Amino acid sequence: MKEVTKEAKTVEAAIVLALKALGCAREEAEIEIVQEPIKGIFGMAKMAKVRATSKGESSPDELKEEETERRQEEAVGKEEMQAAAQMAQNSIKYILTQIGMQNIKIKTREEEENTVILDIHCESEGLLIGRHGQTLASLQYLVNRILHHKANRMIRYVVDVGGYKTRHKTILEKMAKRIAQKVAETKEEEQLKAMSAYDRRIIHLCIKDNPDVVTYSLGEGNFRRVVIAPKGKTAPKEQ
Amino acid sequence: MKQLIEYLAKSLVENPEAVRVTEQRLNDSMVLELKVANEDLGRIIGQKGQTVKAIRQLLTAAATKTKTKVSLIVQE
Repeated sequence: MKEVTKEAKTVEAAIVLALKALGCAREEAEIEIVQEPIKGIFGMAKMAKVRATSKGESSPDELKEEETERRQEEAVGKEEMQAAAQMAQNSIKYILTQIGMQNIKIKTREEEENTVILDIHCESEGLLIGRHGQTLASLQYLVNRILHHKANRMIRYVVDVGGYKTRHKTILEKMAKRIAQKVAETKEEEQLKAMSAYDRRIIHLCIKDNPDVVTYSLGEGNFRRVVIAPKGKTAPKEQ
Repeated sequence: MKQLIEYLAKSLVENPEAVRVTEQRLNDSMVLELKVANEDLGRIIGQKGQTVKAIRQLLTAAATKTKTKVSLIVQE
């Protein structure tokens, strides 16, 4: 028998936290809501609070096993992945032909679980990438929408043109490291230009292991940008 | 370009039979009008117009390729 008390924004979230801490499934625990969340004028006046007591003797190890089992179920089968990749290829080929592209070749590969990477080679690749990769981003978004409509929603499709994304990632990482070093030396924070969520993530991940600096993001929507600051400085609270 | 819009629209909606695309040409510019079933309008427009924005982006790429001007109107 173990007992934990957890707080979160919602009752549901607090229960999840408590169960995780106990390492047992929901059926195996007694859950008592100590405090319903109360909304104040400025955000949460009172967080939700629950107390969970484990009934069974389920150990965290067992839970882990359960989790891996579930993962395997979630992983999409190889045949289905191949079929999905083929469908995505056909879809992209049709779209590109309609745009007026010629000599289209598409290579597919799988890097992460449930992710299909489609690398397109054709003429006038620059046109397909667009300014700041905007056209490419649109194509990827539509391909995902179309295939999620037709087939398994678990699969993600990453569309690349002539290795553009890989190149772009290397450039971003180089820039991030250079600026991180500068910040470490001058002890003055620096704001980068506004970037997409995906690009910002690349920067955060690249610098996360640097002991001298921290990163956080600032701004809303299309204007959101990464700030690289010397260690010890904390991010300003966002509204 | 008409086929491009037709394909994208039909792939995104629940009711592909209701998809209609008409084109009007004027010199070197073209206006495409897209009509879909009422309940599919949201699927074409997307959150904050994200989907229709992406469709227009691809359309612009196609127009650049053929050196024309194209605009897309989604009819209610």
